[in-house]
This record gives sequence, structure tokens and C-alpha cells, in this order.
Amino acid sequence: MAESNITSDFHLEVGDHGHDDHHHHEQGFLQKYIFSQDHKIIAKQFLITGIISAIVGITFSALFRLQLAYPDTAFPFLESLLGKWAPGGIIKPEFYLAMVTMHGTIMVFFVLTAGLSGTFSNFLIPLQIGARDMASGFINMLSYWAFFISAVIMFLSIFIETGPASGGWTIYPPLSALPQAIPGSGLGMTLWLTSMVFFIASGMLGAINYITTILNLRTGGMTMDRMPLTMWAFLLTAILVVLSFPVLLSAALLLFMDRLLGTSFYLSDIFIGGEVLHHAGGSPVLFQHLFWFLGHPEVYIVLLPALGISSEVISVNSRKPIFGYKAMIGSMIGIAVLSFIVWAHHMFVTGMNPFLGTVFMLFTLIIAVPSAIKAFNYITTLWKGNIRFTPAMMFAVGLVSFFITGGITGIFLGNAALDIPLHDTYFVVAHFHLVMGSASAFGLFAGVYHWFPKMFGRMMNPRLGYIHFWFTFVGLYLVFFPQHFQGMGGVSRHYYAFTEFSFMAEFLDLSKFITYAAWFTFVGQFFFLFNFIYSIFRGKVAPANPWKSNTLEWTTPIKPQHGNWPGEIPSVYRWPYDYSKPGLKDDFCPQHIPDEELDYEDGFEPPKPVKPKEPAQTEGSKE
Amino acid sequence: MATTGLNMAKRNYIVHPHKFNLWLAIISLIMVFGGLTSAYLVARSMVKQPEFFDIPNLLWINTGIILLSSFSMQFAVWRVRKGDEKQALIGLLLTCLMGIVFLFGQYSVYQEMVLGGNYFVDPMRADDSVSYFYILTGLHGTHIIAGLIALFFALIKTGFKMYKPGKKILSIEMTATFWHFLDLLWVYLFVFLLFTQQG
Amino acid sequence: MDAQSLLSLTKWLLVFIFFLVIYSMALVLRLKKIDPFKEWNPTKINGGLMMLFFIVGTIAAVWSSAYWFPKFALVLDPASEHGVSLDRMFWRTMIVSIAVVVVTHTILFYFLWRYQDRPGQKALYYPHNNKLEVIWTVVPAIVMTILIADGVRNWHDIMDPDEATKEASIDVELTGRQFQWDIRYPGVDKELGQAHVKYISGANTLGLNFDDVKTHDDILATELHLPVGVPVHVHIRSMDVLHSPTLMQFRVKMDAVPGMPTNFYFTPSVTTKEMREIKGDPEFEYEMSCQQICGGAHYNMRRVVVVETMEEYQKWLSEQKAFYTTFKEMNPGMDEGKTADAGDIKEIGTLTSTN
Ligand code: HEM
Ligand SMILES: [Cu+2]
Ligand SMILES: [Cu+2]
Repeated sequence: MAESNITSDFHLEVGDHGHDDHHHHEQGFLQKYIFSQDHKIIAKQFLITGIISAIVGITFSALFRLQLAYPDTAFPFLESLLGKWAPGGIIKPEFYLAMVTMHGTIMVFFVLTAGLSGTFSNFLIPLQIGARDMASGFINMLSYWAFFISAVIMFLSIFIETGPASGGWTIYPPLSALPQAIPGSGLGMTLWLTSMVFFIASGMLGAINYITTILNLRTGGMTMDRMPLTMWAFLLTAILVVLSFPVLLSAALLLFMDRLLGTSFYLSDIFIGGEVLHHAGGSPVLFQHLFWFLGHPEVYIVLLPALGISSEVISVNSRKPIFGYKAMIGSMIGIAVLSFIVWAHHMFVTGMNPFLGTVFMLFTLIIAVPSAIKAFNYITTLWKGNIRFTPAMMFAVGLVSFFITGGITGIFLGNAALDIPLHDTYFVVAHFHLVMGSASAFGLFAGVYHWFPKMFGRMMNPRLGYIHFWFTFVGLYLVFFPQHFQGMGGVSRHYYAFTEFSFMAEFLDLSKFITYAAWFTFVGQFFFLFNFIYSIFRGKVAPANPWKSNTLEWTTPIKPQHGNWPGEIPSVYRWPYDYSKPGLKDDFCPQHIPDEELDYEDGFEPPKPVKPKEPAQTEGSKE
Repeated sequence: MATTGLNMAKRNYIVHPHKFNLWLAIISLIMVFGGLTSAYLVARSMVKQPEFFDIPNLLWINTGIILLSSFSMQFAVWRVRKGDEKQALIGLLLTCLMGIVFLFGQYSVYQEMVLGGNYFVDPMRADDSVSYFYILTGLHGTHIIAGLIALFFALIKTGFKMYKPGKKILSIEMTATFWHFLDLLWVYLFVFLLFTQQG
Repeated sequence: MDAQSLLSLTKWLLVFIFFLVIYSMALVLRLKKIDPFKEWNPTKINGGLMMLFFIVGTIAAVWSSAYWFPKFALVLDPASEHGVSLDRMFWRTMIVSIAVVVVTHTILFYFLWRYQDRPGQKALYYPHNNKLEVIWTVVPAIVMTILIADGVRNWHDIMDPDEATKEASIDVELTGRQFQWDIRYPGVDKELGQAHVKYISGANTLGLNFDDVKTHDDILATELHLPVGVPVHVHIRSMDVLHSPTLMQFRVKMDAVPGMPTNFYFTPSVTTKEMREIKGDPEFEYEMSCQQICGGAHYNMRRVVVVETMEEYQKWLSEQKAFYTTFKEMNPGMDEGKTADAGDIKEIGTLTSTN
């Protein structure tokens, strides 16, 4: 490609080593694949680390489901696998909790935060807004490596003498603060917190970069109201990260102090292990306030990228514009704003002021309105469409289904009075696994199936994709739908066995069933794993625009190099959702093709050429 | 494509992307300290018998110093813009000096606190306002150290005339922004501590 | 090698052979470039499967709900006064939810099946319709408002009982610790005496302050007995980590927070005996559990709750011995002189619960 095409009047000061040296063809392996500053490589690093984390996290769940189904049965293989944590093949209660905690932490943070938003924000932001890379490749690289260190520390903590953190993924003190309370609160918890500090750093570095890039580096014509919904979702997610993760950092800092130095930020009046602890004045409830101030936005940090991805995928594959583009943006903004003022709905029964409970109930139930708008808009997008069932599309509509069935139970839980009996039962487990776990995982899968051709230049095998979809879709419903029944039966979460209470013992059979379903789902994931790895090396070579999509990423070469576009970055002439526009021969209409160059149907009067909107320029900073 | 350089289309940014990054980082720092100070207020509202302690008067002097240092910092930026490295160097050195003095001042404040029987970890107290005092000031102090490191780089760049007037003075401007932020943050924390210890 | 292991070996061998056969079949098809599924149209098949999923799923959901319905402890047969209106609200919300899920899913799966990609078909260009969008903003908003109003009313009825109820209530204290519940009754003076972890010594594991005369008649029990129809004021404490005493059948739950005593008022309305008849289960017992993760034996913090008539309750209470008496017997050399009224504070916690 001719160098002269590239206007190089502006250089970033960090992260563009040797920009004066255009003969820099060969990069070493290390620089190219390991310490890469290229957003596409970093995205793949996030994805692969995320997939590995998912394998660990899901394996934990497969094991502890075994315990729930057969509470008194010995499985010798467990002893060989877990050693002293499963003497005689029966998992110890403490280790059961450790596994649940690790499962939750890994899935929420490593898989569905880093693995989902890290992968797709990195991969898609520059490609879809038309930028050569992120605002700062260096910060971006740091973001991945902080994540990597975080994951390594977390995985190492599984193997230590006292076991990993065991206080649940929400690590409520005093349980998480006192090693006397549970072995996992010793070194395991310290490592958990250390890992989390790196994770927070990673999230913030990434998010800062995403925001800056989206607001400042859009190509000519890419105004904010011409951005694909993925971009809006990632932007809002990043804003949530920047505002909420720091608060988790504060919470973790205070917990660190309580654990290591003996302050009493969260501790007061405690008698444990035969002695009175000299802690006074701290409140465990304070930790919950701080944690959930992060925690609730965090669940949307997990969900919003998935919603963005599914908007794009559904629109492309039903060959229709997404219905109510502005409403979709509006409701995402609404959700993002509201998510900061609902956190105490996780704390209705912690003894907080009943009046506060009322306020939080109000805001919480208001969130249901923008959520409803999104669901209805998805469905209307399908109406009179021309639906192509690609694997990505199937996962995207699966997401819509999960979003509805899972979100609806939020209306029960958000009602403070109903939350009294339902809090900390399997009803909550069902709620968040459907709306957060399943829906976001489907967003992740939809994204991988849809953008795999762009990531690796090859296609994934669709048939394996269908099999994977049906295993997962059916499996997840079989796992999580019956958990509502358990919840209504009063079965408590974080229980090692349901044998001790007669009203819970009624649900032992159901518990077995759920375990079978979980294993069924588990097995289904191997179709994905195989397909993913196989297709990277042996998949069919991808065409330039396999899904006939409008967005900019498909205008790059099949395997884009560093810098994404060999020549000039294309300018943008319209929004990304002109599918099946009347008058056009094709049923799509890429963003970068000016009106006058489109292929019109015979007899159709093409619109007069209009000058494209001036390049985005300073648009972003004004927003 | 044979370039590793990332060039952007010609644009006039109101804010350079790297500065934008900095502002976002500042916002997240605001959230950290906002989180901690609100935690303090919540904790205080829950304790039945809150206790008070005297804020060491030395803090007033420290506040004065850090406020002054912002002026010398800004002075340095203006001078660099004008291409007057010598004076800029003086400004930067002054800023560094005041930063270091501030840190020592904070250290003496801690000594004074400890002498007065206000420990970071104190099993005898029924609330943890003193612990919050140490956490807030200490965390601010570590950021001052980070600011000093940034200042150090700015010093070197100025010393070796790596800034070109009118252009390419991004890093010193960013350092200044960060320093001003730390200054304002301190003022906020100081006022906050004053008021919460007023009963 | 014994027969058992031989058997399992053959089992694995069979599985292995099975996969081998499948693999070789796939290999042959591949080498000969035969695609047995070539005629299958994935769009049609998946569209059909979607419809099938919806129909089978709906049937399964209905059937399983009906099957499990009688076992719902949380939303059937409430045993407390507030539980009745709470359950009613639950079912109202449930009806709304089921309606929403059924309607949206019917439409969703119908569209998926109906608008499959067909050759020559072009989708309708339909980017927005403000009227529709306003409708599905306003309707959920109205429904939510109704549900919120409903919720607020119930929430306040439960959390802020009126003064009369508070007056009439009997006190009982639940203290959580790893891993059991301690149950304390106020005794004849009807007031719970002071307690704090700092007073814990020897057998006085609850940390009663014996300098406070009000503790002297306090009773420790291993079953929670409650009179029917009388409001109960539950005082909740924790010694170590968070716990959450949960009386499922009474729709009662409130966290036990170390340092911060919490409260819950409720009125049991069905005795254990009556509930046994309702459930048709002579073995039935009300149970109290812990529902906030608190460590290894979290799953096993069980206490039986007995609801009985006032007479039975009084009788049971009068049979219990004050803890102070037992304690004195165990520690004969105890200093007797210091007994004095320690003031009105019922419990000491460093924190207040209105945060
Ligand atoms: C319709 C909107 C929603 C409402 C009203 C709502 C309400 C609630 C409430 C009140 C709880 C606390 C339940 C309890 O612990 O007793 C809760 C838990 C939870 N929700 Fe939602 N929710 C909604 C949507 C979502 C979405 C979209 C997500 C995720 C993407 C989500 C994720 C979670 C998670 C992870 C928890 C459990 C946290 C835990 O205790 O471990 N929710 N939800
Ligand atoms: Cu929430
Ligand atoms: Cu418990």
C-alpha cells in the first residue's frame, strides 16, 4: 500500500514506537503476539484468557453440582482430584463454599467482564468507529497484563494450603475478614483481594481507553448517532466501570487494612474462636454499601456489552434496521444512570432504615421500564424480517429470551416486601443466572460466532454451532428454570446440602435433575471449544463480508494488519442499520458507500448526492 | 501496510486523547476518595457514640504549601510554553520541593497524632474516625508521590529542552493537571476532616 | 482382576469403540466428500426447532410448575399475619410476570418461525414507530407504579408496625454464632437484660451482664416457642459473622449483624398443630434456618419453632429455668453483691441499626 495515502500529521506520543521509521515490517514474536499494543491481538488475548477462565469456572460448578445432587455419596475420583478437600470422596463443606466463591468470582469478573467486554470492546471499537487503534495502545497492553496477573493470582490461590476465598463472590466481612471464621479467609482471601486490585486496575485502564477512543477517534462522518449500538453499549459500560470500580477499590483497601493491620472498618463486637476481638465501631453493612455500589453497576457492566452485541447481530441477521435505535440508546443510558441508585436492593434485610428501603425499591422497579423497552424493541426488529439463523443469530435471540425470563423475576426481588422471604434463596440464584449469567454468556457466544471471521480470517463450522446452541439453550433453561421452584420452596443458596431441613429436602430430586442438566450443558460446551480451536487453524477461509453487514469492520482486509485499513480510513455516510432499504438492489447498504455509488433498483430515483457530513472532528469532545 | 505508527485523520481535538485519558483517570480517583469519604460519613452515622480528636494545626501549614505549589507548577507550564526553560526549571524545582516538604509535613502530622494517642489501629476506641484520617491522608500522600515522579520526568524533559514551545508539551501539561487535581483533592479532604471533627 | 473392574473396563471400551465408529464414519464421509446433511436447510430446521422448543418448553413449564406447586413453602400456607398479604402480593406479581413472559415469548418464537429467510423475500424497512414505543414505555411504567405502591404498603406494614402492636408484643432474642442459634426469653420481668460480647466468660457464652438484674430471670432455650396470635418482637444479634435467621413459613428474615442489633416484628397466626392438619403431615415442624453465608456448617443451623396456644406457651415458659440460676450453681464462688439496675439499655451494640 502506498505510504502516501496515510496522512501522518498526528502521532500519538505514547505507544507508537518508531513512527518515523516506516520500514518497521518485522516485529518479533514477543512484540507481535505477547506484548502487543495492537487492539486486535489484545482482544484475542482477552478472549483466550476468558475462555480458559470459563473452563475453570464451569468445571467448579460441575463439581459442586455433584455435591448438591448426591450429598452423602462418596465419589472416589473427587479425592484424587481435590485431595484433602474431599476426604473419602466427599467434598468438605468449607471447600464447597470455596468452589462456589471461585465459580462466582471467575465467571462474573474474569469471564463475563474481562472476557466479554475486554474482548469485544478492544476488538470492535477501533474497527467499528474507523480508527487505526485505541487512543493509547500502551495503556491497552497494560490493561491486558494487569488482567493476566490478576487471573494468575486468582488461579494460584486455588492451590494454597488453606484453600481459596470462601465467603461468596460478594466477600461480605466479617466472614471474609476473619481467618478464624473459615479457612479460606486466610491467605486465600488476601490473594483474592490482591487479584482484585489488579483486576480493577485492568478494568479502569481499559475503560478509560475505550471512552477516549470512542469520543475522540471516530472517522469522518461517524457522528454519535451513526454509531452501531455495540459502540454505545461499550461506551456506557466503560463509563460504568470508571465510576464504579474505584469504589470497589476503596472497599477492598479498607478490608485489607482490617485483615492485615487490625483496624475495625467493618468489624465490631465480635467473639470468635473462644476470644473477644478488640474491634469496635466498624460495620459490616458499610462494606455491603460499598460493594453493591460497585456490584449493581457491575451486573450491567456484564450485561450491556451483551445487549450491544445482540442488537447488532439481530439487526444484521434479520436484515432489518434495529427497531427504535434512539430508544435503544435512551434505554441503555437510562439503565446506566439508574444502576447507580439501586444498589441497596441487595440489602433490604440487613437492618437498614425501612424508609431507605422504600426509596431503593422505587428506583429498582423503575429500571424495569427501560429493560422492557429493549426487550420489545428486539422482538419488533424480528417482525417481518428475513431471519437468517446463523449460530450468532440464534445465540442473540436466545439472549432476548433469557433477558425476559430472568429480568421478570427482578420485579419480585426489587419489591422490598417480597424480598424478605426470597432473599438469599435459589430464586435469586435463578434470577441472576438467567439474566446475567446466561444472557451475557449468550452475548459472548453470539459475538464470537459473529466476529470470528474478522478475528481469525476463517469461518467457524455452523453445524457445530447449532449443536452447541441447542445444548446450551435447552441445558441452561433446564438448569435455571427449576431453581425458581426451589426458591419458592425456600431452599437457601450457599447450602452445602439440602438435607437438614425438611422443606428443603423436598427438593432433593429436583436438585438431582438440575445437576444432570448442568452436566448436559457442560458437555455441550465442548462442541464450542473444539469448533473454536479447530476453526482457527482449519476453518474455511472467510469472505470479506460474510454476513453482508453494514458496519466498518468488514471494509478492512480479511485479516487486518496493525492500523486496520491499508489505505485511508473510510468515511461514513449513514447510520449502520440500513438493511433492506427500499429502492436498493442489495438488502444492505454499507456505511462507507456514498449514496450516489449505491446500486439502485431500476426505475428508482436515487437521492441527489449530498455532501457527507464533515468528519467527526471535535464532535466527541462536545458530547 | 508498512507502518507501525498510528496516524489519525487530521483533526482538531478540543482535548487531546491522552489528556482525555487523564481526566477520566482523575474522575476515577474522585470516585475512590468519594467512596472513602462517604464510607466515613455512613460509618459515623451508625456509631452510637462518635468520638472526636483534634486535627493537628500543622495541617494548615501543609495546606498552604500545597496550594502554593500549584502556582509554581502553573508558572512552569507558562514558561515552557514561552520556551523559557530556565525559569520553568525553577518553577518545577520549587514545585518538587514543596511537594516533598508537604510529605514531610504530613509525616510530622502523623507523629503528632501518635504522640497525642491517636493511633491508626486502636482497639480502645469505639469508632474509627482516626483510622479514616490516616487512610484518607495516607492515600492522598501516595498520590503525591506519584505526582512527584511525574514531576521528575517533567524536570528532566525541561532540563534537556525536550519541549518545543507551542507544541509537544503534552506531558508537562498533564503533570500540571494532575498536580492541581491533587491540590484540590487535598483541600477537599482537609475541609472534610475539619468539618467532621467539629462534632 | 475382579469382575467389577472388568465390567467397568468393558463399559469404557464400549464407549471408546462407539466414538471410534462415529469418528471413522465422519472420516469416510469427509474423504469421499459426501455430505449427508446437504439437503438440510439450516434456516428451516432451526426455525422449526425454535417453534418446537417453545411448544415443548411451555408444556414442560406448566407441567413442572403444577408438579412442584404443593411443595412451595415460601408462597403457600403462610403462618403469620403479614405473610397472608405478602403471599397475595406475590401471586399478583406472579400473574403479571407470567402474562409478560408468555406474551413476549409467544410473539418472539412466532416471529422466529414465521419470518425465516426465504428466497426472494425482502424484509420490511421499519426503523421506528414512536407511537408503539410510547405505548411500551407507558404501559410497563403504569404496571410498575401499581406494583411499587403495593410493595411500599406491605413493606411499611411489616417494617413499621404501629405502636399498639409494639406494646402488645413479647420479646425474644435470637443470637447467631458459628454454628448455632441461641434463643433467649426475658423471663418474668418481660425485659431482656444487657448483653455484650465483652461479658462472655465460661458458660456465659451469650455475654449476659449479670450486673444487670434484668438478666437474672432470662431464659435460654433450644426451641423457639411462640404463642399464636400475639405479636413477637425478635431481637437479632450476631456474635461473630453475618447470619440471617429465617423463619420460612412465617415469611420472616433479617440479618444478624455483629455490633448492630436488628429487629423484626411478626405475629404467628397458625399453630404447629393446625399446620400439621393443613399440610396433612403429622411430622411437620416449623423450622428456622440461616440464610446468610456464614461458614462451613451454614447449611445446618437448624432450630425447631413451635407455635402453640397462649396457655401452652405459658406452661412451657414456666418450666424453663433462668440461666442465671444455672450459672450460679455452676460457679458457686460467684460475687453476688454487684447486682444493680444497669439502666434502660436493652442491648449493647456499638452501632445503631438505622443507617
Ligand atoms: C428488571 C430489572 C431488575 C431488577 C428489578 C432486579 C432486582 C434485583 C434484586 C432486588 C436483587 C437482590 C435479590 C436478593 O439478593 O434478595 C437482584 C439480584 C441480582 N441481580 Fe437483578 N434485577 C434486575 C435485572 C438484573 C440484570 C439485568 C442483571 C444482570 C445483568 C441482574 C443481576 C443480578 C445479580 C447478579 C444479582 C445477585 C447478586 C447476589 O446476591 O449474588 N439483575 N436483582
Ligand atoms: Cu442489583
Ligand atoms: Cu449462616
